[in-house]
Amino acid sequence: MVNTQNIFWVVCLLGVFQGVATAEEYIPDRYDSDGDRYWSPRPYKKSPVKQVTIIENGMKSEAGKGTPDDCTKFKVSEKDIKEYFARAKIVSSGAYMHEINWSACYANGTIEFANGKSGKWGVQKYRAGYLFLDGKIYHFDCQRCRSKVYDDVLGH
Amino acid sequence: MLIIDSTGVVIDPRVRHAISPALERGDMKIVHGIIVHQTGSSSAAVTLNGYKSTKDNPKPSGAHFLIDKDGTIYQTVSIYKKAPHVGFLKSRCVAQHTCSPTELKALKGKKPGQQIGEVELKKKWPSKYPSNADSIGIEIVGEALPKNEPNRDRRTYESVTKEQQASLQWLVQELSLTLNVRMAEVFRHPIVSWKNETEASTATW
Repeated sequence: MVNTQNIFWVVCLLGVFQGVATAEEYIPDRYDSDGDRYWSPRPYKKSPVKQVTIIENGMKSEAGKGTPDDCTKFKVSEKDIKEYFARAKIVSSGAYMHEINWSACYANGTIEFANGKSGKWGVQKYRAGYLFLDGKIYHFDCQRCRSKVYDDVLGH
Repeated sequence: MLIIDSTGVVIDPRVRHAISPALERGDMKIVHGIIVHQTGSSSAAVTLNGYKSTKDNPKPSGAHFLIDKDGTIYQTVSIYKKAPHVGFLKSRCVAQHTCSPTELKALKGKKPGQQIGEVELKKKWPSKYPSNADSIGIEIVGEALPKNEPNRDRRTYESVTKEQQASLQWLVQELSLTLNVRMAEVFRHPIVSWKNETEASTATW
């Protein structure tokens, strides 16, 4: 039997979840593809990583489903992600899309920094990565990362 | 057959001139291939604006031609000049399973991107894919969608319009005839370099 009080709480909870979704919604801004800052790196201040969780690992993107890449071997660790965001260089959205190397293999999760900021991260096998913090997207490339997880001898 | 003036500009009513000097990277002696791209932007105006040199982006990337949504073709770089549109080359012999033992040895331990790209650049065409040094680039205006997806890797490039398709086919065939480029040497960008696999995936020629 459906209780009206239960319906009330379900509606309230849905409202809360919707509120969370709205807070995390990404709205393209001047640093996105049609913006005047598309080719400029978004200002970003590094902070040590406090905590990392891995949600997806060794995944293959929809965009790369036709490629022969075996993504199951691309398994990052929390240590890899801490190293990534300590060493990676911030790049523009334009450079991320057009200049740095793209891979179908990715991992992602959530992250918390020492400065209190928290959000989502994503990293690809060929060293491209991003952070989604406070509704803003930051793009990175880490040629200085030393983890062996990015090395893929013949590039396929 | 295209008529090309002494500066490398195509003289044809179908081609508008929007030469962007900031894209030029020296003389191109020979053309072996054509690389087809998509811009990631919604209009030619946005892309042309991005071809200007700025403080943050003093050396912009771009190709020789740009095809707008309505099929309008812009020439943005002289066909006698190199343009930065390819990026680091993938290994052609690995992709085509034709590597000699020497080629495999040279690639051993090399990382995707700059390291493999440098190995490839030492080879001569057709052992390598056409690069910035010997290819014409054609950009097609098209966004990677959905735009509210923060993870760019989950975005896919939109389909080319029928007007873009018609212009691309005409341009590729004319360039192929004029510059003596084999049709088998016309590639989508993700074939030759590490790019989002959906870029130009709906374009045909």
